[in-house]
Amino acid sequence: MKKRFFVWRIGTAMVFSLVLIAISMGTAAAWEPTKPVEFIVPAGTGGGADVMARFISPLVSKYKLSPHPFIVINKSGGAGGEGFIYVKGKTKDPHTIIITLDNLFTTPLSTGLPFNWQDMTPVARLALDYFVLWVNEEAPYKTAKEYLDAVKKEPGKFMMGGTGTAQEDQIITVQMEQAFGVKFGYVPFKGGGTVAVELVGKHINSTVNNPAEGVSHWKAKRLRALAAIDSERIKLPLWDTIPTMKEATGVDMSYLMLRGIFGAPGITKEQQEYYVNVMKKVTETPEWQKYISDMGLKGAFLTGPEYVKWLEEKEKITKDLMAKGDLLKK
Amino acid sequence: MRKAEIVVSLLFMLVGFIVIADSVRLGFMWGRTGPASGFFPFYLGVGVVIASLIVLLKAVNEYRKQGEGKPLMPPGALKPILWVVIPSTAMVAIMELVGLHIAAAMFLGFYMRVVGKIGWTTTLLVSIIAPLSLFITFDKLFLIPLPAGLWGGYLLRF
Amino acid sequence: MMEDLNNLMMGFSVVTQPYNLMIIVVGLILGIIVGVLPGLGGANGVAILIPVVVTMPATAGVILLSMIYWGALYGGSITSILFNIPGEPWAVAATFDGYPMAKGGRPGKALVLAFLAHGAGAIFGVVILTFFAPILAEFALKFGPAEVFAVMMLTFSAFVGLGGKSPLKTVVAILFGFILAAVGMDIVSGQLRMTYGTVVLMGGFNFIVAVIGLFGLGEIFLTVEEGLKVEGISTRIGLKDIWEGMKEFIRYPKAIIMGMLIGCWMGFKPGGATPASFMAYGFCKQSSANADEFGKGAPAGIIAPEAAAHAAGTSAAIPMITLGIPGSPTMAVIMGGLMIFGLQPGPMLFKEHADFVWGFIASSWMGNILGFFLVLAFAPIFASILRVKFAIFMPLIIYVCAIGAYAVNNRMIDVYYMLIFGVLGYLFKKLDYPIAPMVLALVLGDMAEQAMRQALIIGHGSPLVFFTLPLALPLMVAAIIIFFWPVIAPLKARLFGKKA
Repeated sequence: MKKRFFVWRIGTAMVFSLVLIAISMGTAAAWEPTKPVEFIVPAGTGGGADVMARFISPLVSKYKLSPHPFIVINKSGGAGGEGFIYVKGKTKDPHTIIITLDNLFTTPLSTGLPFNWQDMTPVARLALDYFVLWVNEEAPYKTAKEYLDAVKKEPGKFMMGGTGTAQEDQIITVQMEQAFGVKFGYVPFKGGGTVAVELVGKHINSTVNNPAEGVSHWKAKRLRALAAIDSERIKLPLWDTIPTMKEATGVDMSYLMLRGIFGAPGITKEQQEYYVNVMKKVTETPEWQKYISDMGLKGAFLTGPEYVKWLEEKEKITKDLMAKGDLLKK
Repeated sequence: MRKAEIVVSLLFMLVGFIVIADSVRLGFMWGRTGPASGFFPFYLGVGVVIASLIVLLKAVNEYRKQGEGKPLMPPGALKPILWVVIPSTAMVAIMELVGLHIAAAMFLGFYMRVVGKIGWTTTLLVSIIAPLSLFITFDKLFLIPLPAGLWGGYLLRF
Repeated sequence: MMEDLNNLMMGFSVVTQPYNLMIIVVGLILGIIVGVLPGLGGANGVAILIPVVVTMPATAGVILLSMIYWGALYGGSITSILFNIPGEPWAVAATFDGYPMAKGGRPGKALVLAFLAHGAGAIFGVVILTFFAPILAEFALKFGPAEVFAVMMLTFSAFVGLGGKSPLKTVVAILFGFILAAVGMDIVSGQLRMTYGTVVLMGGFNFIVAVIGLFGLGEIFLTVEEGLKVEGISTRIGLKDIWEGMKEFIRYPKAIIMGMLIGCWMGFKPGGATPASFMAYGFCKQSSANADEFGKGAPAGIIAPEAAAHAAGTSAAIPMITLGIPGSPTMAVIMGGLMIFGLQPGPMLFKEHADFVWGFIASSWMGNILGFFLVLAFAPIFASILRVKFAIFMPLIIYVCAIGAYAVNNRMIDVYYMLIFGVLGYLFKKLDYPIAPMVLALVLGDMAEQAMRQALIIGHGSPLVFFTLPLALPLMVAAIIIFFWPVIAPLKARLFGKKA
């Protein structure tokens, strides 16, 4: 028994050291987790961020990117605020990382939570979420221009449904109102899937759902995609048939949502680099490639100073739009 | 019993007032698109205050007329209840230091031996096997890390 | 119909492959464990397995996830009935009559009744899922926020009769439940309510934590009060219990049918299993000739909510598959699992991945039927815990409750809340503040308020939105009639009595 255990130990040790060598040859990162990594999700189970975290965690194990597993933990209270505060409190703890969406900016701005993304260590941007303007297939509007013209005629009559309050969907609504001089009524719901179904059931007039939230109803000819809310067309098969906002209305408009990773505050350069490498390797796997195309995401890996710069700009834009929409905490 | 009745209804009233205060801050009127954030809590608070005020007045009235009445707890009940409440609160407090499983092991051992007068063998067996198997189920199989406390992480390293 | 049957047969040929069968059994056993442990809910249980599942073939993976769910649906009522601690939120209503019956010396019968009710609800739900899913999906689309609010009102009015002796205290308890539900983020306005700047209160009060404290710990304090003399109850479950349970079960066809129908409806829109079980319990009690027996171990009080819970749990798969909206939190996680496999839930799933859908439906048949026998086989093991000396078993229960309270949200503060709710539960029982309506208010408060405010935004601030045809108006009227039924019924009797 003892002997077998010994052999097994040697075996694993050899495998691990091979992996170690493989990793350290590729990079110069010397640090590695010495215990399981807490992978915080500042959202409930089943949502976009949660599914992504639970998708990444087995890839980390499968490709042996870490000697210890990444354990997904949900801390969803207060639109994710609980998760952010938790990570902020984990100063210098290299075994905590967090996956975030745009609630990284919107939650503290709208609630006055004592938190800013600079309280954490930026690791990488993994992908970006697209948004599409949808109406019911039976609605008389064939193009975004027709629809927005109709909205303009009767301010406040048309109902835009979206996920949560003072979060990305409402910010896009504000952005649209600013760009086109229109006024929507905004109805918040709990999740993107629900929003899409409320539109199919004609309880609301339009949504700015993500591709993944609307795709099935679109294919079933219950929803109509009027425009992709980005400056370029969505570079995925089928989705590239949707015109951009500029093509559909003549006014350029773009909003993309962050899917990024952060570490605890005050971790060392090596620890930060380790996670950057893990995430880079994750985004290079074939599983990941299939995943983002299935989910209708924009693969946009970004790290280092460029990532920080992007975050700074994104924060500024978000704050600006929220101020215009009167969504900031007073 | 009636004293407890009075105290509890006063507590409810206090909760009601706290809620009303915060609702006023949030705005409790009918907003542009329907009720504002504090609309429901405001009326909930008002409702609780009114209802518990009536409960309070009734209880005070009865207390004046008929005295304390039936005790809240049957005689001699307080002791066994405190023997549960205090150790379990202690367990939760110790959890912050040594983690959930170790605190629970201590709690199990203490309660069984000191309060329950269970034999040493059973006490030891249960207070070791139960936390160990729950540790394996939650922390290892289901990968739900339960609180390790300040030092628990160092004590349980496997 | 014929085509459906053919497809179903094809599905069965997939799930009866040895590998898939093995997965079904493993998944069910894990699910029952998940169900039995309070705090480790179906949603957590499924979420935890997603990383394991992504390495498996799609059909097998989704079968494993759904088996956890079916197992958890069955397992939840075991802890409710034996220890008065709901293992799952939908099993809260099982404590109302299941625990009194078990405490009265008939735990075997209570369990068998609950399992039979679950089995009946499951079969009904699966039949609906197999043959009527697309039709029901169209019906579900008719439910907007106003209709959802009307359904919530219906649930509350069904619960009006469940108060304690003092109506005033019932009002206090309900309002207190609503207040607890309102703490934290208000999703409609995005504002924080009653948090006083603390991060701790941002997450609000979790329903499961409250229930573990109020029911579980509260009950322990009540038991301890009688001293430590509590002897274990004889809890061997023999064939005789099963036979007796079956005989008893078929004596309550009304409770069974009521549970199945309410459950199915609430499952696909809009409430899910937890409100379904409450609603079925409330309606069954109100319409029962011997309503006084409810709460003291009435068989119908076990059957109706349990049948409803499982029927709702099963039919929650309908909106998930056909519309891409999960009918319950667990279904939300299962849906996440589907998306990882590139299976986009929604109206196209039936067309694009028919083989997968029918495999899933066939596995629901297998899972729910096998689950019944498995849980029956497991019950004696759990029941035997009751034979253990109280001084050993009681601290163990507190330990498990603490784990449960923590695991719900991974928060230490919830364990403290649990202790406080335990003391509150004891005080409430003593002073006759009813707990059940309070818990209902806590679980539905958020949902009801959200639906109401969403509807008002859509209706531009006018409350008339709740009285629109075809659905909201009749539902609201029904809710109002049932609410005032205790007043109307004697009136009606008097009127007709005079005429006669």
